[in-house]
Amino acid sequence: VTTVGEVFAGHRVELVRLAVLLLGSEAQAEDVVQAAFESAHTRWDTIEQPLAYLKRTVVNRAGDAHRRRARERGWLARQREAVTEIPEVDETWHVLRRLPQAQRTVVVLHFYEDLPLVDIAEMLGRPPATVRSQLHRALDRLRRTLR
Amino acid sequence: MTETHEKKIDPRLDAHIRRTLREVAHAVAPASTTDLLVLPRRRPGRHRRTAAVAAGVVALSGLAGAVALAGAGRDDPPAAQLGLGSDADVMNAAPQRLFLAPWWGELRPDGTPVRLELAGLEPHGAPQPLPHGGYVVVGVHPVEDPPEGFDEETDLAYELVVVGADGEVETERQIAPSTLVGATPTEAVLRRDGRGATHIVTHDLETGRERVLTDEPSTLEEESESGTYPNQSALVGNTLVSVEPDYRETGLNGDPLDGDGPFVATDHCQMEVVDLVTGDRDERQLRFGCDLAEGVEASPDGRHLAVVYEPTRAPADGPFEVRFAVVRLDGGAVATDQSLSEGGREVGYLGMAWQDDATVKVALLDAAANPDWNFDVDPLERDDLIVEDRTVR
Repeated sequence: VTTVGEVFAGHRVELVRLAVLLLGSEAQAEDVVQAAFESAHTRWDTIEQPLAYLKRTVVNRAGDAHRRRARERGWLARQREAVTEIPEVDETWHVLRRLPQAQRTVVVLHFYEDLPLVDIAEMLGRPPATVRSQLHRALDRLRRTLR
Repeated sequence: MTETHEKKIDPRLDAHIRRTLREVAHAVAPASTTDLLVLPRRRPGRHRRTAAVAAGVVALSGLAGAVALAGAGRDDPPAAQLGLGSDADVMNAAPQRLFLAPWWGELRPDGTPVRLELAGLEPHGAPQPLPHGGYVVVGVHPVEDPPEGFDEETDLAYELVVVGADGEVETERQIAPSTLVGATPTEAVLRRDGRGATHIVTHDLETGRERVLTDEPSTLEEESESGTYPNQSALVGNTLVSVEPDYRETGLNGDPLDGDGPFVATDHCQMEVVDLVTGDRDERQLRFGCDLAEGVEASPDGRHLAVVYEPTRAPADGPFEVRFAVVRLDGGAVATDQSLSEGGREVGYLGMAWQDDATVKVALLDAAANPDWNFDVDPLERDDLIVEDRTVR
């Protein structure tokens, strides 16, 4: 049986990275991941697939955090700090950060987590058609701004 | 479905997105920790402060002036028929009340900031002043620990609350998911998503009776998904004026796919005027470089719109700028356009209110003195507030 400590030690960084891509803020990402572990810890014995459960929790909590901090995100989005020091990557990241949260979540789960759209739809509890539409709109905006 | 869809994605764009996400993710190096039990929660007080931050913040509006936009070219139906624009003199009286977002306070006329009673709600849209000295607010009760499978879209209960001048809750009523965009003395004006369109709905404050007035354009619906780019709205008589980035134009200084940046995503903001009686819409581009509108307020006479915005092409590595402009609603002429970041000071926009038809009081947060202001600064503390008058002409 995998303990919460083992999953924490082995996957925390991975989860923080996912949360950073969803939220655009490392501080917020660490908050979300920490809260996800705290929440999971209380029901650990009932969780069959801890990592999948934690990822779903992180995605859900990132959406919650994003809604609450929409205004702050507007301010954060203005800061074009270099993240990777690769100009084209940083510029694209700047655009990705400014996608509507629902669209960015689909983009991250599809292109970073390599999840099929049907799995994303299941994780997010949205109709597959909605997820497909959100990806389409995100890509359309990326094409417009990156062309 | 998925395979078919993936085949449609431009391979170069696909590869570029994957590379960007991978590089950014690997640039993240969280502090090493191996003990869950001793890992402290970061900034434990943050949730209390940010619980009041609105999702899909709509900037301070709050006017229900009787002045229709010039050139509307129609005969207004009686106000009683629409429920809009009645008692407009009371609602339009200057000086207007100045609400502070997103921590939701009010700057009293003597300069004292006070916290608004929100009945525990996380506002969706700014609270709107009412003529009896109170205000109306729409929002949800924050959920700190949502259970697995919790869906904010379907599981959150939205409420409309009327607060009296004494700060006591007068009315508390559950409503469908909505964002408050304006109010008349008798009705709240709500933006509500549904069935592929965004509707403008009036909600009678006394009876709760609702009426769908019109649909909003699909572009507004798209941008309102997350609130990242909330469109900023003001109610002017029977007209809703909104400002949001115009994504149809991009200022591209290079091709980032070829590593030849930098570029910006948006060059202009568009002002959209929606006639709530006829449903007619008119869009026009604002005549100044605008990357993001932070707030709008209509003047007491209904002729001007004050816009606080972030300009296009702000230096990537320098302090960002916040500017203040006033445009004529009947033609878009710019009456003034001035920086709120004089001398390179870093400020955050909190709110504004017209004092008369030529003066706007603007409330700002001194961001430079508070490097962590995104989360930890309470602008209701006097030391963090900057309040100054801006002259229109």
